[in-house]
Amino acid sequence: MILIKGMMKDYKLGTARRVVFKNVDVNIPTDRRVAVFGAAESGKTVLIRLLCGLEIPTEGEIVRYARVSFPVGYTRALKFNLSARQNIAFVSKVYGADEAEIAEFIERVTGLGVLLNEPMRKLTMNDRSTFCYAMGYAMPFDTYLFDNAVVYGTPDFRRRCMAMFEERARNSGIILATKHTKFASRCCDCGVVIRGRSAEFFDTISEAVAAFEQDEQARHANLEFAALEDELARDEVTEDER
Amino acid sequence: MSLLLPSAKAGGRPVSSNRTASNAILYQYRVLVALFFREAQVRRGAAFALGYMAAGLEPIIIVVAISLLFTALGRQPGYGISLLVFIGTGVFPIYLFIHTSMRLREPFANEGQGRLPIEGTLDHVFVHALLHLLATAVVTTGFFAFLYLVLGQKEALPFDLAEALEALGAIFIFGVAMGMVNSVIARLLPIWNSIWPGVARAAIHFSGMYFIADFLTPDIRRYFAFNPILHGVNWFRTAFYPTYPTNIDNHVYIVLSSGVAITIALLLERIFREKLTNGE
Repeated sequence: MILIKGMMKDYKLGTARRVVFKNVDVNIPTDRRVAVFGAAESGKTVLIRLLCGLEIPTEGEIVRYARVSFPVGYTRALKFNLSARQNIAFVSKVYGADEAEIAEFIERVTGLGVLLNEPMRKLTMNDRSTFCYAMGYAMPFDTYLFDNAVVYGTPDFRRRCMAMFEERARNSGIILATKHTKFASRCCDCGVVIRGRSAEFFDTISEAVAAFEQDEQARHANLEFAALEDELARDEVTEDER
Repeated sequence: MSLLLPSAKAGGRPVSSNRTASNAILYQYRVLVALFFREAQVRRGAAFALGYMAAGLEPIIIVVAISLLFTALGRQPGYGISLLVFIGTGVFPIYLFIHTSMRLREPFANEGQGRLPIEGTLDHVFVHALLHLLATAVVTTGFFAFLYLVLGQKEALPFDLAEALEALGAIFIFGVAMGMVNSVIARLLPIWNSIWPGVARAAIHFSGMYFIADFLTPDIRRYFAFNPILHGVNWFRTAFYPTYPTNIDNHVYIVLSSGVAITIALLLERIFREKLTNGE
């Protein structure tokens, strides 16, 4: 379980302050498949980063009663001066995994072969990302975090990612931030919906999807209404000018 | 498609999600060990030997350069009979402080280089400080051993090794504290990265590297006594010269300065933790 208690998160942008979350109190199960729904720019990525500890809340606290992964596909933990194998050794040591088993698995899944011995900076962006997805899936965690994407790369590797995702979803918890209700309905069984600056947990995925779609409809209606108001205001200005 | 993913109990190592003290210690230990071996492998693109150890060459170059200059000018060592030992006992403690206070920037100034969620800023501080200490210990020991064994300079062997280590330990802790303070300031005020190296190197001339603080006139001496590094240098020298003048020495002062600086550093880290953590 991940307990979020009285969390507030803001960012300073010059002199302005953007509040992403305010007074968030929610418990997220770590042994289930949780979808995190939210509109664009609502803070899904921030929530995922907060859940895994890449960012810390401005106020309040997040308590994790599980071994939570870094977002699968996260590339920024790597040292580009080191080889992929050295990076595997580091991440394996940190998380107490078997280095040889992880390296063998990544080699088998990515097909990078001898490139694993080269410094990461010599790898293409595509190879680096492929490596990071494989490493994210390979590491042993209680709960895996995903920020919008569960697959990456070539069609063949995407199929492998999907197989890894399904296997991890069967045996571990997952928390998936997404806007795609169809995919989430297929692979998740409960959900968190980011509404306003808070987050609400729904025990079934259908309830979460319904709440999210309702929010989206309201948001679109508001956007249409705002556009209509703008149009009317423009028409009035034109009339006055005449 | 089954890919036989590594299991959660890979390698049979103890893994648990319980929030117990023993688990916290285990995770901390893993992070520190992993970071130590990773950071030892590479420093600014070079291997440990070429990265950390090469940095240790700077004080050697300074000692040799000053010794050559003083010899050419016909100057005698300020104390003892060996110019290299006298300059060396001043340069090495000062450079231990300068480099430590400068090299801890990396754990904080990690823009463009991310990290795993489990890695904390203080883990990086600890590991970088330890690596730097090890490299400095090797270079310093090598230098004095060379003077003693190859050049046959008896003064190069400290008569009180424990005293020498205590002095270096005090300077090192002061360097770590100042390094942490500098790192936080540099994250908030990037120009500090250009200012501090100048300030730190200027401190060479106020820390008794080529003079004896006790021999200064009292009205000047009292200003010099505010410099904690000067006390560290004097402390280090007393391990080599049994009768080194130590009237202005105050070991408590440098230890207290370290304590105050460490407290300020930890407070700054706590206050700006969100900015330091998020700003990758």
